[in-house]
Amino acid sequence: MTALLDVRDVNVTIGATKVLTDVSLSLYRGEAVGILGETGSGKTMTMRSIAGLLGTVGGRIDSGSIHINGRDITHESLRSRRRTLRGVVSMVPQGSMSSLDPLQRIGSQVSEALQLTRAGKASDADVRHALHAVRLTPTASLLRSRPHELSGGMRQRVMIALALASQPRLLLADEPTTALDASVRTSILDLFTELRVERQLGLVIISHDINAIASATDRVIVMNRGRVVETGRTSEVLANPQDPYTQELISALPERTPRGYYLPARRSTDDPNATANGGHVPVPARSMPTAGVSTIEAQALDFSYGDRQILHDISVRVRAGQRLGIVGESGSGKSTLARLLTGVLPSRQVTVNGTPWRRFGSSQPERHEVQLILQDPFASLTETQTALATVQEACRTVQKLARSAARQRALELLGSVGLSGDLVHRRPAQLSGGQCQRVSIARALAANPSILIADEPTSALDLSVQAGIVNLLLTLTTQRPLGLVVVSHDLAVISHLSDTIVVMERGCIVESGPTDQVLFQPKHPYTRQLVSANPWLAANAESNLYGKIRPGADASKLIEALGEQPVMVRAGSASDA
Amino acid sequence: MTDIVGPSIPAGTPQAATARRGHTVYLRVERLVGLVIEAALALAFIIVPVASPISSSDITSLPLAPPSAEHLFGTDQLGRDIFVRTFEAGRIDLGLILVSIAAAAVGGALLGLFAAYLPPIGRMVISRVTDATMAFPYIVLVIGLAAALGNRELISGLPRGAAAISIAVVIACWPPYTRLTLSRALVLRERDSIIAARVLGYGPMRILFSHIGPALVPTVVSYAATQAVATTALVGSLAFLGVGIAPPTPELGQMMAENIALLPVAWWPSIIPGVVVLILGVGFALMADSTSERNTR
Repeated sequence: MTALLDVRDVNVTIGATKVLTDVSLSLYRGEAVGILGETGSGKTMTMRSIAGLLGTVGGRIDSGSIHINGRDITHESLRSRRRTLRGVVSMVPQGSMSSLDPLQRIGSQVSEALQLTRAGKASDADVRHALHAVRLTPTASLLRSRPHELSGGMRQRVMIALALASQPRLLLADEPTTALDASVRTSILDLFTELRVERQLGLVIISHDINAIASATDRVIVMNRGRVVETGRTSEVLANPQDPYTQELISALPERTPRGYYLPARRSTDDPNATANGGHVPVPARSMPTAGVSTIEAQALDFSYGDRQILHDISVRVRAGQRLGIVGESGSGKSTLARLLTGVLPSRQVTVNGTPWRRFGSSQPERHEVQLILQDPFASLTETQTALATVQEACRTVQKLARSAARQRALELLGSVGLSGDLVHRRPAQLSGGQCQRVSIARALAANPSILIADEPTSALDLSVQAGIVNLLLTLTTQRPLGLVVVSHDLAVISHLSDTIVVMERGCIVESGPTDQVLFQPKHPYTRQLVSANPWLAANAESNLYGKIRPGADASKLIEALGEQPVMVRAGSASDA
Repeated sequence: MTDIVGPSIPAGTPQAATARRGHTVYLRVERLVGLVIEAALALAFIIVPVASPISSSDITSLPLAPPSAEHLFGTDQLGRDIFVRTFEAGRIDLGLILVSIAAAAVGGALLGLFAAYLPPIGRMVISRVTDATMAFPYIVLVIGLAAALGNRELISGLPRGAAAISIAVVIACWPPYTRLTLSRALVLRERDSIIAARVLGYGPMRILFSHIGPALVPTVVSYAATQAVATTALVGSLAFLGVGIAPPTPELGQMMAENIALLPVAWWPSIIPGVVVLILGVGFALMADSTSERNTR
């Protein structure tokens, strides 16, 4: 049996930069292969060389060969591929919002894709059939709607339907679950698995999301800096990684480290707390909260944009020294809540030290007490300012320090978030995402806040960089009496950064309580669903419950122990199919 | 490491990244050529009239003498040396263009920046005023202004009529800058960095001038270079309408207008100033192209 896809020792350069070195992979019918790697690992380039899309980014294959269905297509032009590979290869591109035509109705987009492969016109029945195949109900209103009217999950399904229109034997999916909520992600991955079994489809899934790869693929290829560093059965590789890079990557998953421990972060990257690697987070000696402690409080908060009510009856209170996690899926109102707590959005029901926020932008003595860290590391910095200038400006303006004192303080703050030397003189464009996020944190700290609100602080970052930021926030909250509110869709990140968790769904708080209780004994069905969407978290919970982990034990051993847990429930069932 | 090969480009690697780099180099060269043209002309405009033994209004030779070693560009119908006249005229034209465009750009941009922080009503008023100004036929505006201000010497030291042209150009050219900065500033105002700055309690002036303003400079400069091309032509063409700088002060458009009727007899008095206008325009156009390309990419 010839392989459906056979990539052998492919080397790709773009200009003078080598982006792929000796990449090989093969795939048979009905099999799913995952390509796992971080930003810049070459996974998308691998996909592009298979799909023949290297030319658009100026890349070319220097050596090696790519066979699809036994046919050598290494150097075949895109034009001739259109003829020879239609009905053989299809691709689901990244980003369902930007990849669908925003002005065309769903029905006509699907029928256009169907017409490419058949002689006559695609009938309505064909369109309905195609949408049925991706488990969408082809109602008249769906066919008439435009992409922006659909949810992210539905758009992704439409994209898959378009890719399947030519009845391909090989489907390439680039980051198919990125930007989708946990529950939607699960259903999309299930759809891939079902389609694969139904149609004996060969499937290549590219992702940086280890959980997605674990649940939808049989074999995995781990890439780093344009090379394949490890390959094997998904369950084996993830449970027992051999290559140091894979080990690092998997151990950086926040759910694989028990609560109360620093995440194992790569020392070489930009983590300053080399000593913090994998160690136990010291429990800070916090004084009991007294009357003088800074507090932000929302009482019976309702909030609407226009006539659409976003938040219903929310009551939360955070004091300096406390850590609160707000978890929920997109549209649950958690970011709105974060902005209300910071005073960016106005509400009389939110008070800081007993006084409500004034109109945003007007001066207020409590203004500096609460600071905000935003999701997009690049957009949250002023692009024309260097890291030092950014922090120095905050020290000068907020703390009214003199120029030299502000510079000194800024350097100290940047040092405390792990930026020193040449890095402080760089502009955002010359810094990595993680480094930018550190500058944001340093700038927020310059105001000497009592409470730090972080809105999805790690969602835009790679796994290993995320671990560094989580560690940094852990260190900061233990070193000073800082209150922390972390808003995230990722329960695993929240579990490390909070003592109390609030679970939000559609603008309401559905569950709240101490982190351990919410995580390990979830009561509300929605919380249960969130917890169960993450197999490692559950495993972690169990090990905690059964007392396998004793506080003070060596963290690295703990992580190994966790690695051996039978966690790949989904991967197992997928490979059986 | 094979990941990153050094910055030198090995022989025989064409393709897009190299092509892109080539493109950037090309843009840099383009900008450099534009700058060199403008700088060389500006220098010549300043030096030549000063260094020359004869003045631009001296009648030194026979009328309409063709270019020769004595009179490099020949003489005009009154026997004045065109070489000296051209460079003196160039100084006036270039100075006029630069000053008026700079005033229009800075003024327009500041107005746009402030407008972004005004309440919606104030913003609307400013937008409507820009719209009205843009809709007004500006040749009519220039003629009207020139008539109103007359050929008086408004500012001592400047040739008569120059102030009127300059004011007219500023009035005609500021609205696009206001629109440009207003729309960009409104977008930038919603950026996360501005939210973070406001959470820190920064005042509106600080946010405008150190967080939004700097990001707009390239756009404004690139637009100003584009507009300089149009203004070069505008200043040159005003003389044809009879509202230019008053004689005997030389001005490129006026030199062309005066001698255009003699074109069949003598080409040099009208063509040479025209070529100088062309070179000025090309210089600005090269600079404009290279900056705007960099912005859109």
